Amino acid sequence: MSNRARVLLSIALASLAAYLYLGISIGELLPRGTGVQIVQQFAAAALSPEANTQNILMALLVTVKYAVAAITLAFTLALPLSVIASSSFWSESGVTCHVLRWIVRSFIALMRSVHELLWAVLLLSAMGLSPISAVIAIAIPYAGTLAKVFSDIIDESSLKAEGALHSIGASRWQKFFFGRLPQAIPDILSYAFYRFECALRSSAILGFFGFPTLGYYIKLEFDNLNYAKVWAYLYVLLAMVVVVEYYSMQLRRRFVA
Amino acid sequence: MSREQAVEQLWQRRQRSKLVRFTIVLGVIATTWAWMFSDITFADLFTEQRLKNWNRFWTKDVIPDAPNGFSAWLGEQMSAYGYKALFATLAISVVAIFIAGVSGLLLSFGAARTIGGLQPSRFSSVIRIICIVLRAIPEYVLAFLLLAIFGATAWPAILALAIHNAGILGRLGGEVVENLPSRPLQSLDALGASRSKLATNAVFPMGISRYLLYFFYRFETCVREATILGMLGVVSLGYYVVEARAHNDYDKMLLLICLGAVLVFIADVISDVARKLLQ
Repeated sequence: MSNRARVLLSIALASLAAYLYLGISIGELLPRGTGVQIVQQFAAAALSPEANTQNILMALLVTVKYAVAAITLAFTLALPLSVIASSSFWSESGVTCHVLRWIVRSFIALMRSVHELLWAVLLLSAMGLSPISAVIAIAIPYAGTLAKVFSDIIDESSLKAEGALHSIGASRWQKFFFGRLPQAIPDILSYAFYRFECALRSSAILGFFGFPTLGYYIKLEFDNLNYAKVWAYLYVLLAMVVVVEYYSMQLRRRFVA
Repeated sequence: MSREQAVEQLWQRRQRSKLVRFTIVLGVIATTWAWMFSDITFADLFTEQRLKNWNRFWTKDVIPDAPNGFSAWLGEQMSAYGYKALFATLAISVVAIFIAGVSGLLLSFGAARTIGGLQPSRFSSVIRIICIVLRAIPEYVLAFLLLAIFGATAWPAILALAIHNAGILGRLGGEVVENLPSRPLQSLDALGASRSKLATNAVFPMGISRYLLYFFYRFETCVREATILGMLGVVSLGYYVVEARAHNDYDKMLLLICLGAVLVFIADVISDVARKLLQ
Protein backbone atom coordinates (compact mmCIF):
# COMPACT_ATOMS: atom_id res chain seq x y z
CA MET A 1 0.00 0.00 0.00
CA SER A 2 1.40 3.42 -0.91
CA ASN A 3 1.82 6.18 1.64
CA ARG A 4 -0.96 8.08 -0.07
CA ALA A 5 -3.40 5.21 0.27
CA ARG A 6 -2.39 4.82 3.91
CA VAL A 7 -3.06 8.50 4.60
CA LEU A 8 -6.45 8.37 2.85
CA LEU A 9 -7.41 5.26 4.80
CA SER A 10 -6.36 6.86 8.10
CA ILE A 11 -8.46 9.93 7.34
CA ALA A 12 -11.51 7.76 6.69
CA LEU A 13 -11.01 5.66 9.83
CA ALA A 14 -10.31 8.70 12.04
CA SER A 15 -13.45 10.42 10.74
CA LEU A 16 -15.56 7.36 11.45
CA ALA A 17 -14.13 7.05 14.95
CA ALA A 18 -14.71 10.76 15.63
CA TYR A 19 -18.29 10.52 14.34
CA LEU A 20 -19.02 7.58 16.62
CA TYR A 21 -17.31 9.25 19.59
CA LEU A 22 -19.47 12.38 19.28
CA GLY A 23 -22.62 10.23 19.33
CA ILE A 24 -24.30 12.35 16.67
CA SER A 25 -26.48 11.12 13.85
CA ILE A 26 -27.10 12.48 10.38
CA GLY A 27 -30.82 12.42 11.10
CA GLU A 28 -30.34 15.36 13.48
CA LEU A 29 -29.51 17.51 10.48
CA LEU A 30 -33.17 17.76 9.59
CA PRO A 31 -34.30 20.70 11.68
CA ARG A 32 -37.37 20.02 13.73
CA GLY A 33 -39.79 22.03 15.85
CA THR A 34 -38.70 25.60 16.38
CA GLY A 35 -35.67 25.04 14.13
CA VAL A 36 -37.92 24.94 11.06
CA GLN A 37 -39.65 28.16 12.05
CA ILE A 38 -36.36 29.93 12.63
CA VAL A 39 -35.05 28.80 9.25
CA GLN A 40 -38.20 30.03 7.52
CA GLN A 41 -38.28 33.40 9.26
CA PHE A 42 -34.56 33.92 8.90
CA ALA A 43 -34.55 33.00 5.20
CA ALA A 44 -37.58 35.20 4.55
CA ALA A 45 -35.74 38.20 6.04
CA ALA A 46 -32.76 37.75 3.69
CA LEU A 47 -34.29 39.76 0.87
CA SER A 48 -35.44 42.66 3.00
CA PRO A 49 -32.48 43.64 5.18
CA GLU A 50 -33.25 46.52 7.49
CA ALA A 51 -30.38 48.90 7.93
CA ASN A 52 -29.69 51.39 10.66
CA THR A 53 -27.05 53.25 8.67
CA GLN A 54 -25.47 55.01 11.61
CA ASN A 55 -25.01 51.84 13.68
CA ILE A 56 -23.67 49.95 10.69
CA LEU A 57 -21.11 52.64 9.90
CA MET A 58 -20.00 52.83 13.53
CA ALA A 59 -19.66 49.04 13.80
CA LEU A 60 -17.76 48.88 10.52
CA LEU A 61 -15.42 51.66 11.59
CA VAL A 62 -14.66 50.05 14.96
CA THR A 63 -14.09 46.66 13.27
CA VAL A 64 -11.59 48.20 10.84
CA LYS A 65 -9.96 50.23 13.61
CA TYR A 66 -9.25 47.20 15.83
CA ALA A 67 -7.99 45.23 12.83
CA VAL A 68 -5.64 48.02 11.71
CA ALA A 69 -4.27 48.54 15.21
CA ALA A 70 -3.86 44.79 15.78
CA ILE A 71 -2.12 44.05 12.49
CA THR A 72 0.30 46.98 12.83
CA LEU A 73 1.15 45.92 16.38
CA ALA A 74 1.54 42.30 15.29
CA PHE A 75 3.74 43.32 12.35
CA THR A 76 6.01 45.41 14.60
CA LEU A 77 6.42 42.50 17.01
CA ALA A 78 6.80 39.88 14.28
CA LEU A 79 9.58 41.51 12.28
CA PRO A 80 12.36 41.29 14.90
CA LEU A 81 11.07 37.89 16.11
CA SER A 82 11.16 36.49 12.59
CA VAL A 83 14.76 37.59 12.05
CA ILE A 84 15.83 35.89 15.28
CA ALA A 85 13.78 32.79 14.44
CA SER A 86 15.23 32.39 10.93
CA SER A 87 18.06 29.92 10.52
CA SER A 88 19.88 32.00 7.89
CA PHE A 89 20.42 34.84 10.38
CA TRP A 90 22.43 32.50 12.61
CA SER A 91 24.19 30.57 9.85
CA GLU A 92 27.68 31.23 11.16
CA SER A 93 26.97 31.26 14.90
CA GLY A 94 27.70 28.93 17.76
CA VAL A 95 25.49 26.73 19.89
CA THR A 96 24.27 29.42 22.33
CA CYS A 97 22.72 31.37 19.48
CA HIS A 98 20.88 28.31 18.25
CA VAL A 99 19.50 27.76 21.73
CA LEU A 100 18.24 31.35 21.64
CA ARG A 101 16.69 30.73 18.23
CA TRP A 102 14.98 27.60 19.49
CA ILE A 103 13.56 29.46 22.50
CA VAL A 104 12.18 32.20 20.27
CA ARG A 105 10.66 29.64 17.91
CA SER A 106 8.86 27.90 20.80
CA PHE A 107 7.66 31.26 22.06
CA ILE A 108 6.25 32.04 18.61
CA ALA A 109 4.54 28.62 18.51
CA LEU A 110 2.94 29.31 21.89
CA MET A 111 1.66 32.73 20.75
CA ARG A 112 -0.15 31.29 17.77
CA SER A 113 -1.44 28.04 19.23
CA VAL A 114 -3.82 29.93 21.52
CA HIS A 115 -6.77 31.26 19.54
CA GLU A 116 -7.40 35.03 19.57
CA LEU A 117 -10.74 34.53 21.30
CA LEU A 118 -9.04 32.59 24.10
CA TRP A 119 -6.49 35.39 24.42
CA ALA A 120 -9.44 37.77 24.58
CA VAL A 121 -11.11 35.79 27.37
CA LEU A 122 -7.83 35.69 29.27
CA LEU A 123 -7.20 39.42 28.90
CA LEU A 124 -10.81 40.27 29.72
CA SER A 125 -10.58 38.24 32.93
CA ALA A 126 -7.23 39.72 33.88
CA MET A 127 -7.90 43.36 32.99
CA GLY A 128 -11.49 44.03 32.08
CA LEU A 129 -13.12 45.37 28.93
CA SER A 130 -10.95 47.88 27.09
CA PRO A 131 -10.26 48.48 23.40
CA ILE A 132 -6.57 47.81 23.97
CA SER A 133 -7.32 44.31 25.28
CA ALA A 134 -9.16 43.51 22.04
CA VAL A 135 -6.23 44.79 20.01
CA ILE A 136 -3.67 42.84 22.03
CA ALA A 137 -5.80 39.68 21.94
CA ILE A 138 -5.73 39.74 18.14
CA ALA A 139 -2.12 40.93 17.93
CA ILE A 140 -0.52 38.12 19.97
CA PRO A 141 -1.51 35.11 17.82
CA TYR A 142 -1.17 37.15 14.64
CA ALA A 143 2.37 38.17 15.60
CA GLY A 144 3.15 34.48 16.12
CA THR A 145 1.80 33.50 12.72
CA LEU A 146 3.46 36.43 10.95
CA ALA A 147 6.81 35.72 12.63
CA LYS A 148 6.73 32.05 11.62
CA VAL A 149 5.83 32.74 8.00
CA PHE A 150 8.25 35.68 7.73
CA SER A 151 11.13 33.55 9.00
CA ASP A 152 10.26 30.85 6.45
CA ILE A 153 10.18 33.47 3.68
CA ILE A 154 13.57 34.84 4.77
CA ASP A 155 15.09 31.36 4.86
CA GLU A 156 13.69 30.45 1.46
CA SER A 157 14.89 33.54 -0.41
CA SER A 158 17.56 33.10 -3.07
CA LEU A 159 21.25 32.88 -2.15
CA LYS A 160 22.49 34.73 -5.24
CA ALA A 161 22.69 38.26 -3.84
CA GLU A 162 24.25 36.97 -0.64
CA GLY A 163 26.89 35.10 -2.65
CA ALA A 164 27.73 38.21 -4.65
CA LEU A 165 28.10 40.26 -1.46
CA HIS A 166 30.19 37.48 0.06
CA SER A 167 32.61 37.53 -2.87
CA ILE A 168 33.24 41.26 -2.45
CA GLY A 169 33.96 40.76 1.25
CA ALA A 170 30.74 41.70 3.02
CA SER A 171 30.42 40.78 6.68
CA ARG A 172 27.72 38.31 7.72
CA TRP A 173 25.41 41.06 8.97
CA GLN A 174 25.82 42.97 5.73
CA LYS A 175 25.08 39.80 3.79
CA PHE A 176 21.93 39.19 5.80
CA PHE A 177 20.52 42.71 5.92
CA PHE A 178 21.49 43.79 2.38
CA GLY A 179 21.58 40.46 0.55
CA ARG A 180 18.78 38.38 2.02
CA LEU A 181 16.25 40.56 3.81
CA PRO A 182 15.43 43.00 0.94
CA GLN A 183 14.44 40.10 -1.32
CA ALA A 184 11.96 38.88 1.25
CA ILE A 185 10.19 42.24 1.64
CA PRO A 186 7.57 41.89 -1.17
CA ASP A 187 6.46 38.47 0.07
CA ILE A 188 6.49 39.64 3.68
CA LEU A 189 4.26 42.62 2.91
CA SER A 190 1.91 40.63 0.76
CA TYR A 191 1.47 38.01 3.48
CA ALA A 192 0.93 40.74 6.08
CA PHE A 193 -1.83 42.17 3.91
CA TYR A 194 -3.46 38.75 3.65
CA ARG A 195 -3.41 38.51 7.44
CA PHE A 196 -5.10 41.91 7.60
CA GLU A 197 -8.09 40.31 5.90
CA CYS A 198 -8.12 37.64 8.60
CA ALA A 199 -7.76 40.31 11.29
CA LEU A 200 -10.91 41.99 10.00
CA ARG A 201 -12.82 38.75 10.52
CA SER A 202 -11.32 38.22 13.99
CA SER A 203 -12.13 41.80 14.94
CA ALA A 204 -15.74 41.34 13.82
CA ILE A 205 -16.05 38.17 15.93
CA LEU A 206 -14.66 39.85 19.06
CA GLY A 207 -17.97 41.69 19.09
CA PHE A 208 -19.51 38.55 20.58
CA PHE A 209 -17.57 39.39 23.75
CA GLY A 210 -18.95 42.88 24.13
CA PHE A 211 -16.63 44.93 21.94
CA PRO A 212 -18.68 47.22 19.67
CA THR A 213 -17.67 45.57 16.35
CA LEU A 214 -19.96 43.94 13.76
CA GLY A 215 -20.26 40.71 15.76
CA TYR A 216 -21.76 42.58 18.71
CA TYR A 217 -24.70 43.77 16.63
CA ILE A 218 -25.16 40.43 14.89
CA LYS A 219 -25.53 38.72 18.27
CA LEU A 220 -27.69 41.50 19.71
CA GLU A 221 -30.15 41.65 16.82
CA PHE A 222 -30.30 37.87 16.47
CA ASP A 223 -31.09 37.43 20.16
CA ASN A 224 -33.81 40.08 19.77
CA LEU A 225 -35.17 38.14 16.76
CA ASN A 226 -34.64 41.14 14.44
CA TYR A 227 -33.62 38.91 11.54
CA ALA A 228 -33.89 41.70 8.95
CA LYS A 229 -31.30 43.69 10.87
CA VAL A 230 -29.06 40.65 11.32
CA TRP A 231 -29.00 40.29 7.54
CA ALA A 232 -27.93 43.90 7.09
CA TYR A 233 -24.90 43.33 9.33
CA LEU A 234 -24.15 40.00 7.66
CA TYR A 235 -24.21 41.61 4.23
CA VAL A 236 -21.87 44.36 5.43
CA LEU A 237 -19.49 41.77 6.90
CA LEU A 238 -19.58 39.74 3.70
CA ALA A 239 -19.06 42.81 1.51
CA MET A 240 -16.15 44.00 3.67
CA VAL A 241 -14.35 40.66 3.42
CA VAL A 242 -14.95 40.24 -0.31
CA VAL A 243 -13.91 43.81 -1.16
CA VAL A 244 -10.68 43.60 0.85
CA GLU A 245 -9.96 40.21 -0.69
CA TYR A 246 -10.40 41.52 -4.23
CA TYR A 247 -8.24 44.54 -3.44
CA SER A 248 -5.57 42.33 -1.95
CA MET A 249 -5.60 40.10 -5.03
CA GLN A 250 -5.05 43.11 -7.28
CA LEU A 251 -2.32 44.40 -5.03
CA ARG A 252 -0.48 41.09 -4.87
CA ARG A 253 -0.56 40.81 -8.65
CA ARG A 254 1.44 44.06 -8.91
CA PHE A 255 3.60 43.30 -5.93
CA VAL A 256 4.92 39.80 -6.22
CA ALA A 257 6.19 39.63 -9.78
CA MET B 1 28.21 57.41 -18.32
CA SER B 2 29.31 58.08 -14.79
CA ARG B 3 28.39 55.79 -11.95
CA GLU B 4 25.96 58.35 -10.54
CA GLN B 5 24.15 58.51 -13.86
CA ALA B 6 23.92 54.74 -14.05
CA VAL B 7 22.48 54.61 -10.55
CA GLU B 8 20.07 57.41 -11.47
CA GLN B 9 18.96 55.46 -14.53
CA LEU B 10 18.37 52.32 -12.50
CA TRP B 11 16.30 54.37 -10.04
CA GLN B 12 14.26 55.80 -12.90
CA ARG B 13 13.55 52.33 -14.23
CA ARG B 14 12.30 50.94 -10.92
CA GLN B 15 8.88 49.35 -10.91
CA ARG B 16 6.11 51.67 -9.95
CA SER B 17 2.45 51.08 -9.33
CA LYS B 18 -0.24 53.61 -8.45
CA LEU B 19 -2.16 51.00 -6.50
CA VAL B 20 0.84 50.17 -4.32
CA ARG B 21 1.48 53.86 -3.59
CA PHE B 22 -2.18 54.47 -2.85
CA THR B 23 -2.14 51.51 -0.46
CA ILE B 24 0.91 52.85 1.36
CA VAL B 25 -0.74 56.26 1.85
CA LEU B 26 -3.98 54.60 2.96
CA GLY B 27 -2.06 52.36 5.35
CA VAL B 28 -0.24 55.27 6.96
CA ILE B 29 -3.47 57.23 7.39
CA ALA B 30 -5.32 54.22 8.83
CA THR B 31 -2.50 53.38 11.24
CA THR B 32 -2.23 56.96 12.45
CA TRP B 33 -5.98 57.12 12.95
CA ALA B 34 -6.19 53.80 14.79
CA TRP B 35 -3.35 54.58 17.20
CA MET B 36 -3.42 58.38 17.59
CA PHE B 37 -7.01 59.48 17.15
CA SER B 38 -9.09 56.75 18.76
CA ASP B 39 -9.84 55.12 22.09
CA ILE B 40 -7.07 52.55 21.60
CA THR B 41 -4.24 53.49 23.92
CA PHE B 42 -1.59 51.61 25.82
CA ALA B 43 -2.04 54.00 28.73
CA ASP B 44 -5.26 52.12 29.41
CA LEU B 45 -3.19 49.13 30.48
CA PHE B 46 -1.55 51.03 33.29
CA THR B 47 -4.42 52.61 35.19
CA GLU B 48 -4.39 51.82 38.88
CA GLN B 49 -7.49 49.63 38.71
CA ARG B 50 -6.17 47.56 35.82
CA LEU B 51 -2.80 47.00 37.46
CA LYS B 52 -4.60 45.88 40.58
CA ASN B 53 -6.81 43.48 38.56
CA TRP B 54 -3.76 42.22 36.73
CA ASN B 55 -1.85 41.52 39.94
CA ARG B 56 -4.76 39.83 41.64
CA PHE B 57 -5.40 37.70 38.56
CA TRP B 58 -1.90 36.31 38.32
CA THR B 59 -1.09 36.03 42.02
CA LYS B 60 -4.45 34.83 43.37
CA ASP B 61 -7.13 33.99 40.82
CA VAL B 62 -5.20 31.54 38.68
CA ILE B 63 -3.45 29.72 41.54
CA PRO B 64 -5.24 26.39 41.95
CA ASP B 65 -6.58 25.44 45.36
CA ALA B 66 -4.66 22.18 45.62
CA PRO B 67 -4.21 20.76 49.12
CA ASN B 68 -2.84 17.46 47.72
CA GLY B 69 -0.31 19.09 45.44
CA PHE B 70 -0.46 20.26 41.87
CA SER B 71 -0.22 16.91 40.11
CA ALA B 72 -3.15 15.49 42.10
CA TRP B 73 -5.17 18.59 41.21
CA LEU B 74 -4.22 18.27 37.56
CA GLY B 75 -5.26 14.61 37.53
CA GLU B 76 -8.66 15.45 39.02
CA GLN B 77 -9.28 18.26 36.56
CA MET B 78 -8.26 16.15 33.59
CA SER B 79 -10.58 13.29 34.47
CA ALA B 80 -13.41 15.65 35.41
CA TYR B 81 -13.46 17.58 32.11
CA GLY B 82 -9.97 17.87 30.59
CA TYR B 83 -9.93 14.70 28.47
CA LYS B 84 -13.56 15.21 27.49
CA ALA B 85 -12.77 18.73 26.27
CA LEU B 86 -9.74 17.57 24.29
CA PHE B 87 -11.41 14.56 22.62
CA ALA B 88 -14.63 16.39 21.80
CA THR B 89 -12.72 19.26 20.17
CA LEU B 90 -10.53 16.91 18.18
CA ALA B 91 -13.52 14.78 17.09
CA ILE B 92 -15.47 17.86 15.96
CA SER B 93 -12.59 19.07 13.84
CA VAL B 94 -11.92 15.65 12.31
CA VAL B 95 -15.54 15.17 11.23
CA ALA B 96 -15.67 18.77 9.99
CA ILE B 97 -12.49 18.54 7.92
CA PHE B 98 -13.68 15.22 6.46
CA ILE B 99 -16.93 16.80 5.22
CA ALA B 100 -15.01 19.87 4.02
CA GLY B 101 -12.44 17.69 2.26
CA VAL B 102 -15.04 15.69 0.33
CA SER B 103 -17.15 18.74 -0.60
CA GLY B 104 -14.04 20.72 -1.51
CA LEU B 105 -12.95 17.89 -3.78
CA LEU B 106 -16.26 18.02 -5.64
CA LEU B 107 -16.18 21.82 -5.81
CA SER B 108 -12.62 21.87 -7.11
CA PHE B 109 -13.47 20.01 -10.35
CA GLY B 110 -16.05 22.69 -11.02
CA ALA B 111 -13.99 25.63 -9.81
CA ALA B 112 -11.05 24.98 -12.16
CA ARG B 113 -11.04 27.47 -15.03
CA THR B 114 -9.17 25.14 -17.35
CA ILE B 115 -8.52 21.42 -17.10
CA GLY B 116 -5.37 20.64 -19.02
CA GLY B 117 -6.16 23.34 -21.60
CA LEU B 118 -9.54 21.78 -22.27
CA GLN B 119 -12.87 23.53 -22.01
CA PRO B 120 -13.74 24.11 -18.35
CA SER B 121 -17.16 23.36 -17.00
CA ARG B 122 -19.75 25.98 -17.85
CA PHE B 123 -20.38 26.74 -14.23
CA SER B 124 -16.80 27.38 -13.16
CA SER B 125 -17.29 31.08 -12.41
CA VAL B 126 -20.51 30.41 -10.49
CA ILE B 127 -18.76 27.74 -8.42
CA ARG B 128 -15.83 30.06 -7.75
CA ILE B 129 -18.23 32.70 -6.45
CA ILE B 130 -19.91 30.07 -4.25
CA CYS B 131 -16.46 29.19 -2.84
CA ILE B 132 -15.71 32.86 -2.09
CA VAL B 133 -19.04 33.38 -0.31
CA LEU B 134 -18.72 30.12 1.66
CA ARG B 135 -15.43 31.17 3.17
CA ALA B 136 -16.18 34.88 3.58
CA ILE B 137 -18.45 34.19 6.56
CA PRO B 138 -16.39 33.56 9.72
CA GLU B 139 -16.91 30.13 11.28
CA TYR B 140 -17.95 31.64 14.59
CA VAL B 141 -20.82 33.64 13.06
CA LEU B 142 -21.95 30.62 11.04
CA ALA B 143 -21.92 28.40 14.12
CA PHE B 144 -23.88 31.03 16.05
CA LEU B 145 -26.61 31.09 13.40
CA LEU B 146 -26.66 27.30 12.99
CA LEU B 147 -26.93 26.82 16.75
CA ALA B 148 -30.37 28.41 16.72
CA ILE B 149 -31.47 25.93 14.07
CA PHE B 150 -29.94 22.66 15.27
CA GLY B 151 -29.72 23.26 19.01
CA ALA B 152 -26.75 22.46 21.21
CA THR B 153 -25.42 19.35 19.49
CA ALA B 154 -22.00 19.13 17.85
CA TRP B 155 -23.54 19.76 14.41
CA PRO B 156 -23.52 23.58 14.40
CA ALA B 157 -19.77 23.58 15.09
CA ILE B 158 -19.10 20.79 12.59
CA LEU B 159 -21.17 22.39 9.83
CA ALA B 160 -19.72 25.85 10.41
CA LEU B 161 -16.17 24.52 10.12
CA ALA B 162 -17.10 22.29 7.18
CA ILE B 163 -18.80 25.07 5.17
CA HIS B 164 -15.97 27.58 5.67
CA ASN B 165 -13.23 25.06 4.84
CA ALA B 166 -15.11 23.57 1.89
CA GLY B 167 -15.00 27.03 0.33
CA ILE B 168 -11.26 27.35 0.91
CA LEU B 169 -10.44 23.79 -0.18
CA GLY B 170 -12.67 24.17 -3.24
CA ARG B 171 -10.70 27.17 -4.43
CA LEU B 172 -7.29 25.71 -3.59
CA GLY B 173 -8.32 22.41 -5.19
CA GLY B 174 -9.44 24.33 -8.29
CA GLU B 175 -5.93 25.74 -8.55
CA VAL B 176 -4.44 22.26 -8.16
CA VAL B 177 -6.58 21.05 -11.06
CA GLU B 178 -5.62 24.06 -13.20
CA ASN B 179 -1.92 23.35 -12.65
CA LEU B 180 -2.04 19.67 -13.57
CA PRO B 181 0.15 18.60 -16.52
CA SER B 182 -2.01 18.95 -19.64
CA ARG B 183 -0.53 16.21 -21.86
CA PRO B 184 -2.11 13.14 -20.21
CA LEU B 185 -5.46 14.92 -19.92
CA GLN B 186 -5.46 15.97 -23.56
CA SER B 187 -4.55 12.51 -24.81
CA LEU B 188 -7.34 10.94 -22.75
CA ASP B 189 -9.71 13.54 -24.15
CA ALA B 190 -8.54 12.76 -27.69
CA LEU B 191 -9.27 9.10 -27.05
CA GLY B 192 -12.83 10.09 -26.30
CA ALA B 193 -12.88 9.87 -22.50
CA SER B 194 -15.95 11.47 -20.98
CA ARG B 195 -15.67 14.31 -18.46
CA SER B 196 -16.47 12.06 -15.52
CA LYS B 197 -13.92 9.48 -16.73
CA LEU B 198 -11.33 12.26 -16.90
CA ALA B 199 -12.18 13.33 -13.36
CA THR B 200 -11.98 9.89 -11.77
CA ASN B 201 -9.15 8.34 -13.81
CA ALA B 202 -6.82 11.27 -14.42
CA VAL B 203 -7.56 14.43 -12.44
CA PHE B 204 -8.14 12.67 -9.12
CA PRO B 205 -5.03 10.42 -9.05
CA MET B 206 -2.77 13.20 -10.35
CA GLY B 207 -4.07 15.92 -8.08
CA ILE B 208 -4.93 14.16 -4.83
CA SER B 209 -1.47 14.33 -3.24
CA ARG B 210 -1.25 18.09 -3.63
CA TYR B 211 -4.85 18.45 -2.49
CA LEU B 212 -4.08 16.44 0.65
CA LEU B 213 -1.27 18.88 1.52
CA TYR B 214 -3.84 21.68 1.58
CA PHE B 215 -6.25 19.40 3.42
CA PHE B 216 -3.81 18.93 6.29
CA TYR B 217 -2.91 22.60 6.33
CA ARG B 218 -6.61 23.36 6.80
CA PHE B 219 -6.89 20.62 9.46
CA GLU B 220 -4.52 22.61 11.68
CA THR B 221 -6.65 25.75 11.40
CA CYS B 222 -9.77 23.68 11.87
CA VAL B 223 -8.59 22.35 15.24
CA ARG B 224 -7.61 25.85 16.30
CA GLU B 225 -11.09 27.17 15.45
CA ALA B 226 -12.82 24.15 16.99
CA THR B 227 -11.34 24.99 20.39
CA ILE B 228 -13.33 28.24 20.51
CA LEU B 229 -16.62 27.26 18.86
CA GLY B 230 -17.56 25.64 22.15
CA MET B 231 -17.91 29.12 23.61
CA LEU B 232 -21.28 29.28 21.89
CA GLY B 233 -22.56 26.39 24.04
CA VAL B 234 -21.48 23.38 21.99
CA VAL B 235 -19.45 20.87 23.97
CA SER B 236 -15.88 21.57 22.93
CA LEU B 237 -12.99 23.10 24.84
CA GLY B 238 -14.43 26.61 24.63
CA TYR B 239 -17.58 25.51 26.44
CA TYR B 240 -15.59 24.57 29.53
CA VAL B 241 -13.61 27.80 29.28
CA VAL B 242 -16.80 29.86 29.41
CA GLU B 243 -18.17 27.70 32.23
CA ALA B 244 -15.01 28.13 34.30
CA ARG B 245 -15.03 31.89 33.72
CA ALA B 246 -18.69 32.16 34.69
CA HIS B 247 -17.90 30.48 38.02
CA ASN B 248 -14.77 32.62 38.52
CA ASP B 249 -12.70 29.42 38.42
CA TYR B 250 -9.80 31.17 36.76
CA ASP B 251 -7.36 28.36 37.61
CA LYS B 252 -9.50 25.95 35.58
CA MET B 253 -9.87 28.52 32.84
CA LEU B 254 -6.12 28.94 32.49
CA LEU B 255 -5.63 25.18 32.50
CA LEU B 256 -8.17 24.83 29.66
CA ILE B 257 -6.49 27.55 27.62
CA CYS B 258 -3.19 25.70 28.01
CA LEU B 259 -4.91 22.47 26.96
CA GLY B 260 -6.11 24.33 23.86
CA ALA B 261 -2.52 25.25 23.04
CA VAL B 262 -1.42 21.62 23.54
CA LEU B 263 -4.20 20.41 21.23
CA VAL B 264 -3.22 22.82 18.47
CA PHE B 265 0.37 21.70 18.89
CA ILE B 266 -0.67 18.03 18.53
CA ALA B 267 -2.64 18.87 15.38
CA ASP B 268 0.46 20.61 13.98
CA VAL B 269 2.50 17.47 14.57
CA ILE B 270 -0.14 15.17 13.01
CA SER B 271 -0.37 17.34 9.92
CA ASP B 272 3.44 17.63 9.65
CA VAL B 273 3.80 13.84 9.78
CA ALA B 274 1.08 13.37 7.17
CA ARG B 275 2.65 15.95 4.85
CA LYS B 276 6.06 14.30 5.18
CA LEU B 277 4.46 10.96 4.25
CA LEU B 278 2.86 12.50 1.18
CA GLN B 279 5.93 14.22 -0.19
